[in-house]
Formats: sequence, C-alpha cells, structure tokens
Amino acid sequence: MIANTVLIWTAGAIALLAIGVGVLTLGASVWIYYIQGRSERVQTDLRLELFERLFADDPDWNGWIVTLSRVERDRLRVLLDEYLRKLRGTEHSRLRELASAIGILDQAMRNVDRGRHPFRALTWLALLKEPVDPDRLTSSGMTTPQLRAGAARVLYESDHPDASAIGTNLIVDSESLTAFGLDTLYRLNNGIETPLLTRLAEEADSWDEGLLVQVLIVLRYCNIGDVHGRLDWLPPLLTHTSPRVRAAAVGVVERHGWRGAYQSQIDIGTLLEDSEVAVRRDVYLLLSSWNTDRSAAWLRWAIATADETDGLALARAHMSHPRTDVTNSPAWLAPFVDWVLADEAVGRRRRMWGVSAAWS
Amino acid sequence: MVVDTLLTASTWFFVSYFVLINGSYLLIHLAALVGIRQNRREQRVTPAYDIHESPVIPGIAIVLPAYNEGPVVASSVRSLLSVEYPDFEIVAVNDGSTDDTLDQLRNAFDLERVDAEYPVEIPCEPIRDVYRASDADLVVVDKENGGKADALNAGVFFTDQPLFCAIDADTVIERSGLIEIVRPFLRDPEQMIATGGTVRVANGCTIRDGVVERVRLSGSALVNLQTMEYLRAFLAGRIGLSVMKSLLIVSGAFGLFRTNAVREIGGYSTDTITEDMELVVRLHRHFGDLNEAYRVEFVPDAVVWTEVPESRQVLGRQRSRWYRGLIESLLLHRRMIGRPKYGVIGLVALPFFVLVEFFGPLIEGLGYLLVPIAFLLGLLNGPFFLLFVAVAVGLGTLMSWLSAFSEVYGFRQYVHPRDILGILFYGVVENVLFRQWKAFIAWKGLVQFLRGDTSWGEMTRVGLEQE
Repeated sequence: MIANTVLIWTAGAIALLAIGVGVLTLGASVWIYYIQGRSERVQTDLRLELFERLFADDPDWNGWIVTLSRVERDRLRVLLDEYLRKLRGTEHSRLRELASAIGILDQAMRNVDRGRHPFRALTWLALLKEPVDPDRLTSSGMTTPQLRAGAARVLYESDHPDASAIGTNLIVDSESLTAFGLDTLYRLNNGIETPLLTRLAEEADSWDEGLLVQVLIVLRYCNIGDVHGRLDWLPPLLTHTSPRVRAAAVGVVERHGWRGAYQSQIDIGTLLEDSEVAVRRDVYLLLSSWNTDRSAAWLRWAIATADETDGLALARAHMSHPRTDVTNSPAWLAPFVDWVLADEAVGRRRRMWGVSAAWS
Repeated sequence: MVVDTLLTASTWFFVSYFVLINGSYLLIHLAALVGIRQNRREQRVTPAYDIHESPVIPGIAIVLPAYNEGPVVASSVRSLLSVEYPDFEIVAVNDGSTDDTLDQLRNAFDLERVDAEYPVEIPCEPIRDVYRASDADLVVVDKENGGKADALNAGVFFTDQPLFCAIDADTVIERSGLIEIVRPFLRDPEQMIATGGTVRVANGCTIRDGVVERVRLSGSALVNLQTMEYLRAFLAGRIGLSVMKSLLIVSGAFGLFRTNAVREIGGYSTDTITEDMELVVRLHRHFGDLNEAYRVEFVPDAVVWTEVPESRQVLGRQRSRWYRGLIESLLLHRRMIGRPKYGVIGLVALPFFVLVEFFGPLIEGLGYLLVPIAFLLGLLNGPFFLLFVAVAVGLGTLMSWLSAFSEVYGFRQYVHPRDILGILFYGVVENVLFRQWKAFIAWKGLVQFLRGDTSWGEMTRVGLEQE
C-alpha cells in the first residue's frame, strides 16, 4: 500500500503549491488593481495632452517624450496604435513623427530585420505607412499567411510603386488566406492593375479549391479598369467540379462579365441546370442584375422549369429584375412572390451577395 | 483474507482513478496556461485593417431562441443590437412562449408583421408569423413550441447569413463579443467551423441598457460557488481542451457556427437533452467521416454574461440535465470512441469525457458512500483516509486557484482584489458539501436517465437589468 509518509509529502507539496498560487493570484490582483487604476488615469491625461499637441503649431514631440515615465510611454504606444488607425492626412503625419520620436519606427525596422515579433513589427510599419524595400520586408522569412499579408499591407499602405504585383504574389503564394489577407488582396487589386487577373489566367486550374474561391471572392469586389481579354479564364470555372468555385465564379461574372462580349460566352442554360441549389441561386441573382430582355427571358425559363426548392431565390430575382412581370408567374410561385413583397414592405434589407461563398 | 484482498483492490482502484482524474485535470490546466499566454500574445496585435470597411467580412445571424423569457428578452436584444460588427442581423425566435415574450419584443422594437405566410419549409415546428423591426436588423420568428433545439433550427434555416451565432436569451453580450468570437474564422476562413465563447456569471454585476457596467461577485454563496465553477470550466477546461484540439462542447449560451456545416448535418437534434454538446460531437463525427480538415476553437475573450440559478433546487435540475445530456451524447456517438479516424477527438477527448466527466462524479459519489460503511465495519485506515482527503481537497483547491490565477493574469474582468479574495475563498469551501452535493446530483441524473427522463426543469428569471 501507499505509505502514509508518501501521502504526507504529497499533501505538503500540494498545499505549498496551492498557497503559492493563491498568494501569487492575490498579489497580482492587488498590483494590477493599482497599476490599472494608475494606467487609466495616465491614459486620460495623455490623451488630452496628445490632442493639444497634435493640433498645436509645434507639437514638440521630443521635448514632451523626455518628460514621460516608462508607464506613460507604454500607454502612449497604445494611444498611437488607436489613432494611427483612425486619423488621416496632417494628423497622421504628425503621429508618425511622434512614433518615430518615441522609437517605434526604429524598433519595428530592427524587429523586421531580426524576425523578432515580425507581425507586430509589420503592423506598426503598415500603420505608419513606412516605405520599406520589399526584399528587406521578406528577408526574415514569410512563414505564415498572416505574415505574408502583413508584408503586403506595408507595401500597400506606403504606396510602393510595385505594391500590387509584389503584394499580390506574396499573398496568393500562401495555401489559404486570412480575412486580413483577403482585405489586403482586395486593396492591392482594386483599380487599374489587378495583377490577380494575370495570376488567375496562368494558374487558376492549378490552385486548390479554397484558395481559388477566396481569390474569386476578392475579385468579385474589385473595380477593374479594363477587362477586355482578361477574363478568358473565367468561363471554364463555371463548370468546375467544386460548387463553391462555380458559385464564386458566377459572382465574378455578375460583377465584371456584364459586358455583351462576355455575356454571350456564358452558357446560362447549363448554369440554370446546375445540380447545386447555391449555384442556381447565385445565377438567378446574376440574371436579375443584368437589365436585358435576354436575362428576363432566362428568368422566365427558370421559373417554368424550377421547383419550390428555388422558389424564394427565384421570386427575389424576379421581383428585382426591371423587365420581368410577376403577374404571369405560375401558381406555385405566388406564395413566394407574396412573401417577398410583404417582407420588403416591412423593410427587409437587401444584402450584398457573393461573399458568403467564401464562408460556406 | 477475502475482505483484505477486496479492500486492497478497491483502495488501489480509487487511488489509481484519483491519479488519472487529477492528472488529466492538471494537464488541462497547464495546457490552459499555455493557451492564455498564446492568447495574450495574439491579442496584443490587431492587423492593420478596419473590418468595418472591409467587403470580405462574413455576415452573421445572431440566433436567439426565447421561451418564456419576457423579463429578460428585450434587454438581451438591446445588448445584441449594440455589438460592434459590420454585418449582422438578429433572428429572435419566440418558441411558442406562454408569457409576454413576443409582446415585450413588439413593444420594445416597434416590430411590424410580415403580411404573408413564410413559404419555405423549415425543419421545425410551424412558423406562425415573422416580424421585422423598422429601424434595426432584427427579425422575430414566432413559431409553435418545439423546444430550444427546434427554435435554433428555425433561425439556422431561416437566415441567409454564412455564419450564425447561437446565444441564450438570458445573456448579455459584451460589445466586442461578436468580433472576438469571429476572429478564428477570420484567421482561418477555410477550416474553421465552430467557435465558442466564455460564459460568465451576471448575478451581482451592474447591468444597464444591455451593458455590464460593473463586475462584482454576488451576495449569494450559491451563485459565487457557480462563479468559481464557471471560471474553472471556461478559463481552464475549455481553453485547455481547445489547445489540445479536444473541444467537445461549445456552450449553447454563446457559440458561432458555419451555417452550411450545421445545415449539412440536419441542424440541432431536437431529441437530445443538451443540444449544444451533441451538435459539436456530431460536427466532429461528420467531418471525421468526410476526412476533411476542420477546426473547432474556444475564444476566451468573447464574453457573454448569464443569469445563473439562485436556488439549490433549480441548480440541481440544471446540473442533472447537463449530466443526462453528457451521458446521452456519449452514448449516441460511442462508436467514435477510440477510433483513430476521428483523430484526437476519438482517441483523447471522448475517452477523457467517458473516464473523467462521466465516471468521475459517480466514482466520487461511491467513495462518499463506502467510506462511512468501511468506518462502521472498522475497515477504514483512519490516518490514510484523512491524508487522502487532504490531498484531494488540496488538489481541488489548487486547480480552482489556478483558474483564479488565469482570470487575473489573462482576463481581469474581476478587477477588485476583494472579489479575487472571494473567488479564492469559494475555491476552498466548494470542497465541503457543494462537491459532495454535485456527486449526488450526478447519481440522480444517471437514475433519471435510466428511467428515460428527458425533462429540462424550469429556470425562473428575475431579469438582469438594474432599475
């Protein structure tokens, strides 16, 4: 049997450990209570001083910083993180000078070089809109999607001339993207260049489903200057084996493929017969967004051939198309039309569609 | 001779089991401390983008099932409307309440009835009416009574949002609650299917207009014992299990799910006693069967505050139901236990729940019965027994205090040292009577389960708001 002495020693050790944890907990709570109260007071005073100096003729950041204690400097970093995100223009430039004076910029650059807390360092650089050489940014290794997006964000925020191309490559070379990566990719491709189109044309068929869906969703929201000849990779994706890819591709068609040349390349009949309800629903919305007689005819055809599974989506698409007439709808659609009318009468908000494919 | 052998064998059994159970808990506590440290590091850095201006953020439906929640439902919805998130709607489901739940909602939010029958067939009891608020993203689905799981299904199949957040009507969500609980989805949009948040005890706190203004312990010892339990369950148990990729429970009071994933498995089961655990185990089973990569995580910084029972009878009914739900979920999915196909869930999490969570309180209860018998028969080794109790109480206290430490180190909701002292105090006194009472409730739950009792027991709400 277990000797009582073993139990005595065990009980003693546990008691000591418990007392240690208890004392540590209570001690920490007293200390934190004191520090937290002090920090809150300090932060309130700092915020007032920060704003006074921010809007003064000469903020004299260096003169102010030497008067601050360590706790005050720590709280000032928190305030800088908050207001660098909120303020633009002159105020942002002044905060940038303050961040530089307090040593944030140097520290972030050092940490990027050493690979120490790299995401935090990249975040500071992005908030400060600091121009950094892309090679330097990635020198310590971009091992995670979050770090890649962080580096791309620095290039975007600092208006690096090759930000779109380098940033896009950095992000899409990950296996999957974070929401931060998706947002950064959107910003890098929203405009004239849209290097994503080149990558898609070259590699769309080799990317895995997850990445492809995410990239298509981003493209759904980007403004593209000139799509002529740049969406030829898109029609094959409408028959992709993955319904998520098909749905996301329909979203891109809705946003960018409305021009006549592209519309004629899309086999709407096949899309309307897609085996997945989610894809068909997006196709109905696509048709409702095309204000043409042809799309109205396709919607009428869909109503004639679909069943109640698609009733609500069809009724919504039908109601929002300016060239369709609900009075000639079949009887089975009537309850859906009634519902859509009544629902919109009490203020149903029409939602932006397409993004759900990335999260489904 | 036989008695001696039996006595020695049973002593070894109890001691070995004791080591197993406490070893497991200690491991989880240590994993939790690692998780909290990691969480603190991650929390320090917010990516340099504004999710309120991002077009790629997923919309969330907050599904709020409500059955006879008249005193609290308006406050709960008000707190939900104040959350920080760029795209969400609230789907409150009145599950055939017999009190004024629907009237409270109609009056508080100026609801208008949709003047048509909802035409889509949803796997739940019939929908009577749908109401919308004119100046808020709030829809109220009024349906026949079908139970909490049925009400959740109404919301899950009604919404067209890609994510839904299940939340209890007697809870108050923190303003950052939704942003916090969605973070793992934003970090890993492809694999994340469910995240759970922390449920904290609201009794004793000051709550106004759906916002927790001051966090304090309650004046009731029973409530404070539960506060200690919740800290242990969420700040140690859930974090530790999540670190070990063994999370089987996402609390029904606050969890975020990928809508399609839940629809794929048919929604919540309406036949089970605790729909929250069963749903998560079934999700694990589904994705394990498909051999698809997926993740379920716990998010300690996502917080809701809930009203806990203030009477022993109500608490007893609640705990008995939780225990019956545990047995039922484990039995329903017993084929997953020990199967490598289900990874850590099959090989670690489920065996842990069987050996520790299911058998633990039963064996503890058995011990409380056998010790007096052994004493009466003169078979009890007094000094050994006393030392064993000292070790047990010491370990129980140590683990409770580790949870209190986690609270102070990682979360600091209870800021006043007096409250921390109170929590430490309840971490000791719960070992006397409360722990024994819970073992008794587990046995009672087992008997009720064997008898086929599936009752919920009524929870009397007093309301969370201060006048």
